[in-house]
Amino acid sequence: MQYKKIIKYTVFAIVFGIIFCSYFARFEGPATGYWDTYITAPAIFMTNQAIDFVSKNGKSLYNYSLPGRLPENLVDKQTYGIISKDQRLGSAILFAPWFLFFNMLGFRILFTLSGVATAFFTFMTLRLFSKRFSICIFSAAAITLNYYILSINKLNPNMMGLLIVSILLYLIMSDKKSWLLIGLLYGVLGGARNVGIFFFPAIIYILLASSERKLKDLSLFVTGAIITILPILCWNHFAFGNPLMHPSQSIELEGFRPTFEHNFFFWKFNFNGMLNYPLYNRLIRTPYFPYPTFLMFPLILLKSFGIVISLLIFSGIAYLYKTRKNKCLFLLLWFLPIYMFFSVQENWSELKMTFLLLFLSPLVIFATYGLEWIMDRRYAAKDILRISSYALLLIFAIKLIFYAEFDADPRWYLRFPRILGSGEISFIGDDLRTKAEDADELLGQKKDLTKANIFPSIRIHSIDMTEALKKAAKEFQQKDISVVDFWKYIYEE
Amino acid sequence: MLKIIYLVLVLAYIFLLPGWLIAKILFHKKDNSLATCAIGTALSIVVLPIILFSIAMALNTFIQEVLVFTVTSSINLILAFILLYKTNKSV
Repeated sequence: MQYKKIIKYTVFAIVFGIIFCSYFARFEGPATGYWDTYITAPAIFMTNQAIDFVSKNGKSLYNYSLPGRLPENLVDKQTYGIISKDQRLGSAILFAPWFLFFNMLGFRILFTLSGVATAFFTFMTLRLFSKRFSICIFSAAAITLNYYILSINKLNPNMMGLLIVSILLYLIMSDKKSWLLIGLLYGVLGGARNVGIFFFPAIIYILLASSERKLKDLSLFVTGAIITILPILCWNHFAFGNPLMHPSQSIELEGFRPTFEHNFFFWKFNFNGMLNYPLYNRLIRTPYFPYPTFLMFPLILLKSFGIVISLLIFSGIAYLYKTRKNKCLFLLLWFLPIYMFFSVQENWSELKMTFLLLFLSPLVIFATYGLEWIMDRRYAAKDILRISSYALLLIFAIKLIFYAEFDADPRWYLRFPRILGSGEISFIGDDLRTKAEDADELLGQKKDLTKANIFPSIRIHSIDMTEALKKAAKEFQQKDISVVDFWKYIYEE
Repeated sequence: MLKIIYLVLVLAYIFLLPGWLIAKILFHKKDNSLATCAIGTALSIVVLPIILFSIAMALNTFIQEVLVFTVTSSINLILAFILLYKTNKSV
């Protein structure tokens, strides 16, 4: 008995040690791309520390002094503008205290903690229903060390979103729920990722389905959410002139943002995003991506997790529906509205693809239930035949997608006219491209996405802790930073 | 090195103590100390910065060490009193 416990603790320590080292060593450093710059900059400004914004040639762009108070520190219309640009402020707020105490190292610490804590809370959530330690630890590793997530090496609001979602799911799925705390966390999630609003139906459903004092718990949940979303609404009011304004819709932000005509049945409207069918007149895809977003999400997940785990997800849904209907519907309600919302969004990018992290947790929970179910069953020949036929059907469907052709969205080149220009924005590697899409590249992507691998894809990255610790020591000494004003090169003429 | 040790202690005070207290209040009847401490810590990491940000806005200042210490100490005290009250009540 004691011997088994020692093995468990050792495995636990090894898995979490690997997760820690992977995240600590993988982190590239703050403000090296677009999204992370607009998390890093406001986090630093919140502590009254200025940043030297520079052009791509390293020349200082602005001369300013901070007023020394919030929220005024975060807006200077004559120079850097609204500091968070079109990003949400929530993630920057989470990083600010870490920068205050650890300087630049603070960003690496919280990036690492987000990975470790996500794995831990996933593990704890799975332990609520599974007595099999091996399944829980495997799933905790799967959510934080999978092929897709290992490609993220910069600050990303969706990584913070995944962390908050993991804690939320644990609190919601445990027997003793604190609705005030769930509300507080939900408010923080809404501040970091506005799409958190799509989790509202799921939370309300489980509250109404499980609570014995519905009105009291609902009031506690709403109070908690208001407490933590209120500062964000005040910020929106200050920066964008409307508490409910989505930053991307603000006319206060400089840059070229044309609107396009959309329709929904007989309702016509103009919108500065690029929506897909049925809100647009035909089915299109974002240039550089072989498929529309509604196919990109499942294909990337299938590539990352493979046919086997995908089948486990379906088995888990069926099993959970039979045994714990409320929890199954709750997790489906968590996943489906947000997936449907993104399904009609084009104007896509690799960064935006990371939104899938927000609904990764329910899928991992389903897969774990599926695995649990399979391990509890004694297989008959007909079961094996049925599972094999599902696998074949899934492989056939994926292979069929290879032949699907979609037109590139013509609006995209109107939205980003500089893309086809001289290539002067070539250094923005993670959000925009420098040349028109290439047919060979698209074909390569198609082949890669429709490989239909049976087992999860593996991404191996080197973990050089000596180098990472050297970087960390340097970051700990570093408070001043020069940051390329990425925004200028994306949106300004 | 001393500075790092000092900072680790400060962070432990800022995040672990209120974290532990929050978790003790929520789950004080549960015998799962690791989960309890982790939840409280995670909540402190996620919720405390938002509270700091809103207080900084309300006081027209920025996020600084003094503010972090004051807010955290206040939260700790309030939580400790609630815990005391709850524990006495359950006894």
